[in-house]
Parts: sequence; structure tokens; C-alpha cells
Amino acid sequence: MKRILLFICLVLSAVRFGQAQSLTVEYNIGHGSYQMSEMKDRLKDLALPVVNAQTTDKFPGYVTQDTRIGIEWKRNHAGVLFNYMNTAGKKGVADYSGHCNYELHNKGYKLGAFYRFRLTKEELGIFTFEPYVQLSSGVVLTRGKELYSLFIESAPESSNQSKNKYSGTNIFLEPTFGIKFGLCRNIALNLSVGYEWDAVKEDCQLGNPKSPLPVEVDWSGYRAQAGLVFYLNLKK
Amino acid sequence: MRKSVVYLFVSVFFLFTSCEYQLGENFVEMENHQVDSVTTSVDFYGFIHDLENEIYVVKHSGNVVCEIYPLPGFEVEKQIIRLGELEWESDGIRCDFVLDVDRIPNGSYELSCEIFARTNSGTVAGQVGTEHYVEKRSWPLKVDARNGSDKLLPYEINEEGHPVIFWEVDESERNGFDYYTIEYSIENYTYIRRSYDFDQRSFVDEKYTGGGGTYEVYIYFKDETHRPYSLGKAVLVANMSNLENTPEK
Repeated sequence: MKRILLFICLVLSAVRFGQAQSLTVEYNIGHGSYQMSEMKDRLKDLALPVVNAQTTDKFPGYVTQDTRIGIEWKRNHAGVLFNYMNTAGKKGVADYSGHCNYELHNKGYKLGAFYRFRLTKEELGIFTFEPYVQLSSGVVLTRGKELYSLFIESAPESSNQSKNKYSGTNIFLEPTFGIKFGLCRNIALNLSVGYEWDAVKEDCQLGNPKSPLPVEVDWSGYRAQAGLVFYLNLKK
Repeated sequence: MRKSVVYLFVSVFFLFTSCEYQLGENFVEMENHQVDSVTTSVDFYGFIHDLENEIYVVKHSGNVVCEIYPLPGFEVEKQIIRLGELEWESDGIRCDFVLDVDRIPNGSYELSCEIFARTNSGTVAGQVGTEHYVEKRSWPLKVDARNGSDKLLPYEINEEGHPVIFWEVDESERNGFDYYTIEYSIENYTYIRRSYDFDQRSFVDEKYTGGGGTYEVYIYFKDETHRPYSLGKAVLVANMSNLENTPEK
């Protein structure tokens, strides 16, 4: 974490505030897919006390939310990012007599920095067209919850529930291609497509705390986003 | 601009908290079978079964066995047998118990057997072994026991060669008295006579053929919960004639 903050400070100092044109605040919402291969294997291999359990959710892609604060000067745009993503997996069965379910809920909080290089800037009437390439990097903080639940309608005393929380930290790299459409002087529409690669993955400890099972939470996958960029001009 | 930024971050906060992935459910439609019975039959061994009146009769203490025959697919986990204040419990299809008639007064009771059975019809409850059914069956039962006695009754053989049996009874028994039974038994043959006269204190058996045997006199009461008891017995030896029983007269 200290290294990330140091990196950000170096970027900002390299930018030299004196040359910065705009402070930007950006919010994007999008969709991402997630590898989660070891998590999927965990669901597949898990044995429940019922034979007709099925995997209903295999950590599918879901909504991502992204905010960025940066400094833009000339063709360069750099800053810090915060991103939130979540997905889950489930295996179980339910009927009129009760249910038996095993769930894994994963939340990923990305903290990092980005650097964006504008390829060109074209005027389209009152709008501007600015394609760019971008590289983001940082850490993904995984916060997960493992839940096992067995409930019997006619014998609640036989029911059983256990919860386990786990966490881990990955390091990611995310190359992206995007386009900004300047709508007016202070607002631009942002569209981007990229791929997040978790270069370093830390094991999370699942299962019985006395004999935990190490499992990687791999957030790697494509990212597609759209959002708005707000500019606060620093130079008059 | 500052207001816009504030609105943006507030909206982002709500979006963060609301965009949670919703898990699906693997719900299996299964028919909830109504089970009327979990057994084909429940049988008791050790009771007298009066088939005509469809009632069990208990005349003396002894060992009793309850055997349950479950329907296919059901496993009997437990059975509880109740008779009045008495209760016996067993795991499984068989329950062995001893019925002591001294612990239960004479009278009519309900004999019941509560059966706890387990089955697995493929539901979640069935697969984890918690699908249970309970069935209760009951039958009428009559406790008709008598108290015995080792007292010897005096007797004599009269001039006609017939045995005369004598007995004594306390005057306090007059109000509750119903009848006497004089029971003659020899080998596998028993002959019972009744007398409704409280004041009768002897009996002449004109049908006695001289082959020996045992006479036992019981006193019965109008209140069926008042247990009948033996006033004593006289044991005759074969080919006895013009002899008296020496112990007492």
C-alpha cells in the first residue's frame, strides 16, 4: 500500500502541477468478467450431504463501478483510481422440506493509478473525439464470505449454518483502449474496453479455520466501461 | 461544479451499495406425499387376544413383545408403548417389556403404540435423515388379574363320597361382594362354578369322580378395580373317600 502511494506521488510530481491543464473527476460504470478458476473448482469439487445439488452460479461477470481522479496536461492524463466489483458462486438444492446451499461471495476493491495517452483530438462539430490508450495498475483487495446453510423446515433444530470470511490481495495490470467524447468544456463521455490481468494472486483461506484450504481469487477478465469525465480547468 | 461533484459521489455511494450480484436458486418441485400409515401391522405377543370382542386381556404378570412391521421405505426409529401410567420405549421394530399386574389396577385401558419412522423420499430432509413420520395406534385392553393365595382350605368327603370344601371370608367384604367362583382343575381340565351368596361358606361337588384335583375359591367384587383374590385352595388326592383335611376345618 505504501508503495502504491509512493508511486502516485511520483507520478503527480513528474507531471509538474505548473503544467497541468485540468483536474478531472471521472465515474464509469461497466461490466467485467472474472476468471475465478480455483473458485469454480472449489464449487465443483465440494461434496454436500445431498446428492441432487447443482451449481447455479459460477462467478459470472457483473457490474463494475469505477472512479478516477487525475490531472490532465497536453496529451497526458494520470491519476488514481478506485474500482468496485463483485460476483458470487453457489451450489445447492432447495425443495418444500428445506434447503442445503454453499455460497461464495467475492468483493473486489481496486486501488491504483492510471496513465492515459491521448492519440489524437478531432473536432466533430461542437463535440471532440479523443481516442486514447491507457495503462492501470494497482492492488485488488478481495473480501469474501463463505456460507454453508442447511435448513430443515420440519426440524429447525437439525439445521446448521456456518460462515467464514476470507481476504487476499492481488496486483493487477490493466491495458485499455478508450474514446472520450467532449460534450462541452467541462464534461466528456468516456467509453473504454480493456483487460485486467492479476499478475500476482494471494491465496485466500477457505473452509475450516483449523484446516484451511488455500484458494486463489482471480479477478482477471475483460472490462468494458462507460461514464462521464468532469473537468476542472486549472489554467485560465 | 462542486454541487455536481457532491451529487456524483453520493450517487456512486448508493450504486456501490445496491449493485450486489443476486444468486439463483436450484428449487426442485417435489410432491409432498401425505402418509396415512407407516406400518402394515403392529402385533403384541404375551397378551390374551379376545378376537370376538377385539380386546386384549391381561390376567397375570409376564413378558410381552411388541413387533412392528413397517411399510417398505420406512425405517422405525423408535416406539413408545403406553398402558395407563406405564410406559415402555424401544429403538427399532421390537420392544420387549415385563408387565407387572401389581403396578396397574384391574380395569379397562387403552393400550397404545406410538411409532416414529424415518424415510427418504429424495427431499433435502430425507437425504439428511430428518424426514420423520409419526403414527399412533391404540387398542382396548382389560386388566383382569387375580391375587393368588397359598392358604389351604379345609375339606371333607361326605357320606355320599362328595368333597365338601370350606372357606372363610371377612365380613367387611360383604358390601363390595359380587360372587364367589369355585374352580376345580385337574390336568388340562378346569370347571368353574359361581355363587352369588356371600353367606355361603362351603361347597359340595356332586360331580366329583374321585380322581383327585385342586379346588380354589376366589372372591369377586362389584367394583372391577377391586382385584379378586383367592380365599385358598384344597388339593385332593385321587381315590380319597371318607377322609378329612387335617390342617383346619
